[in-house]
Amino acid sequence: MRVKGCVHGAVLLSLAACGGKSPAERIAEHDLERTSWEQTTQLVGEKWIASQIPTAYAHRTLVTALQELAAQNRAIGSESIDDSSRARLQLVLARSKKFTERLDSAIADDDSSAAVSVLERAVRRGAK
Amino acid sequence: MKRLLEISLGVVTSIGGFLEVGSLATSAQAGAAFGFQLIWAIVLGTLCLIFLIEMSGRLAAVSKKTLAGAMRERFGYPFFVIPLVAMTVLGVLVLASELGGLCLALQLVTGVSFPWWAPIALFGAWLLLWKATFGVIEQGASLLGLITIVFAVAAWKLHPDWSAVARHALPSAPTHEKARYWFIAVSIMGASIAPYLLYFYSSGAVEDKWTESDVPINRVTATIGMSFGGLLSIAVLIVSALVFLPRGIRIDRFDQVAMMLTPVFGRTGFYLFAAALGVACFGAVLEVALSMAYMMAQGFGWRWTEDARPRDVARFTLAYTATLVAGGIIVMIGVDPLALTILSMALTAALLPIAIVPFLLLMNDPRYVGTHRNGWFGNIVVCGIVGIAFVIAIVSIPLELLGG
Repeated sequence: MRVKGCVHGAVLLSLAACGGKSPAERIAEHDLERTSWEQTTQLVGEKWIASQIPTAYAHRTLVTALQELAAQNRAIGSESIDDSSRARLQLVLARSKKFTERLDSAIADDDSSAAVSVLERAVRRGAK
Repeated sequence: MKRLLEISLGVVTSIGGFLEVGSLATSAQAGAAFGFQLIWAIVLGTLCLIFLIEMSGRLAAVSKKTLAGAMRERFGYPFFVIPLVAMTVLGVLVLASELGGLCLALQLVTGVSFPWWAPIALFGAWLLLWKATFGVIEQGASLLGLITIVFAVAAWKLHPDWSAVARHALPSAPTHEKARYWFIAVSIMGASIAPYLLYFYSSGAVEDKWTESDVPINRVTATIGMSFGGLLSIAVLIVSALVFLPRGIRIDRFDQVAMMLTPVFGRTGFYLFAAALGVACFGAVLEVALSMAYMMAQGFGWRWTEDARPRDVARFTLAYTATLVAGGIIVMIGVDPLALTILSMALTAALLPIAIVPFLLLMNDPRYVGTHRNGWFGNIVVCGIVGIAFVIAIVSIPLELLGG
């Protein structure tokens, strides 16, 4: 009976903790997620240019990245955060989406010099 | 000389059979998100597995009974139904995860979407179970699984800070993403302490007609084999920490993990990863399907052995066929294999007491293991680790699920 009580307590504690995420934490989480997919795109580009991964895999991973970014955009739209933060998150997300689309298009055209310039532009943008 | 050969073969098969989709996915996620910080979870899980595998071999060698058979006999059918139902549900989820991993490996090589591979992979696994003997399945899959040693080579070549690696063998509190940290920790433990392995191992020992003279060999192979297997999981975590963490890549999909060996092996690394994933998962699909069939057959008192013709053990054959089909349906629906894997591993940890507590009672019962009863040390280690895994699972699973 006591064990059962402890289990119920732990579950309730967990549920309470879930609801307690601050807007700042949610914004930071979105940033982490976007960075993760942007960096995945970057890594795919580098590896494809170096002929270390097949084109079909590169394309599929970039499509997955685009799907994840779109899902994140939808999540940000319904997130209860202030409007300026929402606008900033959506702006950087749109940039990441464009970067991924350009790289995917360069890979689809089998154009490694275009892929190199897409990556260089992304690196310059990141350095700013 | 014969003993030495038996031990070597046992160790090699334990190493080759250790890595599967669960340990691979959870270790990769842990390394990418928290660097070396979660190595302790692999160490704890492996330590517990060493004790449990040794116990299940000892039970079979001394009592000549399998774990499921002894459990049903000792606790009665009404009790046995509880672990049977829990392990069957879990088994189907784990099998779907492993099958998903196999199909993903095929997708990586061919570019054809993974759900399309499910029927072919399913048929291949079923055909092998139908045709092959237990020895072929156990040793063949494990020997092929030695390809997973590439992760150890990659970890070595990436020159990690070994002192940091050693430091994180002891638990430490998370500095960020606390819920995710504990959820991955518990998933790692669930992946390491997979109960299906215990049913498979004890059934295998009975299939191979172990006797009391095999108890020392069992102890050596379980300890050395599982320890090296655990090191392979740590190697996956190290590679992931060195390749993905510096870039801020969190592992949310299997697609991302596939690049982890390319910094060391170049393009070959991509195909080595696919081969390692495919072989490890194929071996695990066979083991999980057989484990479920063993458990059902031994629990219901059906005739069972993988070495008989399928028509002579029809209900046993039907059991592994049904398990394969159930797992296959989940993959064909297109459920994300990584999410399914992580969730099934965490659920495994949450359900561990159902499988482990009655097992420990058996291992302390002289009617089954005579003078080979558990020592206090083994009992405490297993109870402690299973208890920790259970508590973390109960707290972190709702946190992770509801926190997204």
